[in-house]
Amino acid sequence: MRTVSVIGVGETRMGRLADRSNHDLIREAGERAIADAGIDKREIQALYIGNFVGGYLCRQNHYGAMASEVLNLGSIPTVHTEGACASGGLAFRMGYLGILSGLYDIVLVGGVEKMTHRPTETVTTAVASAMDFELEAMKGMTFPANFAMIANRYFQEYRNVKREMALCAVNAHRNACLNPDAQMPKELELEKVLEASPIASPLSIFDCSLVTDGAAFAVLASGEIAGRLCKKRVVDVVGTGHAGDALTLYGKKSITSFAASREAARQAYGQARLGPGDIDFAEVHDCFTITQIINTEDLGFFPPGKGADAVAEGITALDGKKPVNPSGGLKAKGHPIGATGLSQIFEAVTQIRGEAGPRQVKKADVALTQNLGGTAATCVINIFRGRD
Amino acid sequence: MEQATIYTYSVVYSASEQFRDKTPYVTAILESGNGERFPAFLEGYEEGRVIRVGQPVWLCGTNEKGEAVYSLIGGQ
Repeated sequence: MRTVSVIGVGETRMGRLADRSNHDLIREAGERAIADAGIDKREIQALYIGNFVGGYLCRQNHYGAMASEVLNLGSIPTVHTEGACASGGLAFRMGYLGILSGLYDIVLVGGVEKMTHRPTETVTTAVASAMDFELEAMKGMTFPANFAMIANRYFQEYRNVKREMALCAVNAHRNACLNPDAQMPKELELEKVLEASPIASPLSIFDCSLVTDGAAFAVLASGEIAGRLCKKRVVDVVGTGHAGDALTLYGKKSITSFAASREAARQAYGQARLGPGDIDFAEVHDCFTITQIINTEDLGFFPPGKGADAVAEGITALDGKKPVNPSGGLKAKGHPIGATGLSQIFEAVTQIRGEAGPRQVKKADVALTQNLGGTAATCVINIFRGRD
Repeated sequence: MEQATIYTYSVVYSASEQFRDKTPYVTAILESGNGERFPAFLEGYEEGRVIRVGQPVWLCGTNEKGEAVYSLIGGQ
């Protein structure tokens, strides 16, 4: 059976990078991934790149051709993937399938987003295109509002977890302080988070992920080639899943558990022949603090309604039994939308190789990444394992 | 008067460009008597008004697209 491995990763620092163009971000992260893999560029047979709002915020699309030109990859086929916040996860997924099918042996996958040069209201409008614009955004819904509605429903079905949501933010920022690529390496005080004014009740600004410029890339190879080429620990992709759900929030059967996550997780665990208890750490899609709590339940780490208890008990902290988002996550490392799925994979590979420095988790052989698009309408999950 | 109940809601303080003049306002998913859920911009919100999941809202007219408009105020 053919397998797929990650043999190189690279990313930019995440942040408000006013002086960096799309080209700069792609060049830096792409060149780093290629150098990390130690391959000749001529060995790259295809490129997949995620971007979500470049067409709106940068008046730029056709990122596949742009990245190929910037990275000097010649006439290889390129594809620009779009699935809202899961655009990067989809680029990885397409590259994975390209190798698994036998069509390619080595591909480059990446993501890039440039957002911070536009006013907040413009970014809010642009990002709202990831929901149903006519049926939801034109009723005043924004992404914070949609996840605020999810939180209020969660409070109704289980209990008010506002304090534990705040703890998610505190944990994320604590981890980000140990990540040189993080946008907000700054400790947060719990009381300050709890006292903050709402932007869409019950969410305050501290419950929301960041608006970020950044890029992340990975080089994928067939498992057999990886074993020959890779000078670092080979990271095998042992399970993958990709599933969808209704685009609208109101069209979903449940809004306190996401069907797309549960189905993608079922596929990934099944392929890997692993269960939630086998995952050493995870990078989950914490676009909002409530989303992190729901995700950890959907991934089977904790029972429904108990994700918040796990946060309060320190289980998800860097030194806990199930570290979640050691990178700082979307909340504090940053959320460069089209690059986020790859940025999660950058962290998974860095940890599995034992290269995460002060934020290194104790046991890092098996990692899970979960990338959500829109109001949980798309989900891509991957499970990685370091080769012995 | 025809009514629906609030399945979930949020009071929005930070809006997109089209809605920035309306803040704070309430968006909601409403549930009709037959269990159908639908999105709504709720009329009648004033700062400080307490809203809860499960409370009734009332049909108060239609908008320029002919869609039903619901309000937090009504039922008398």
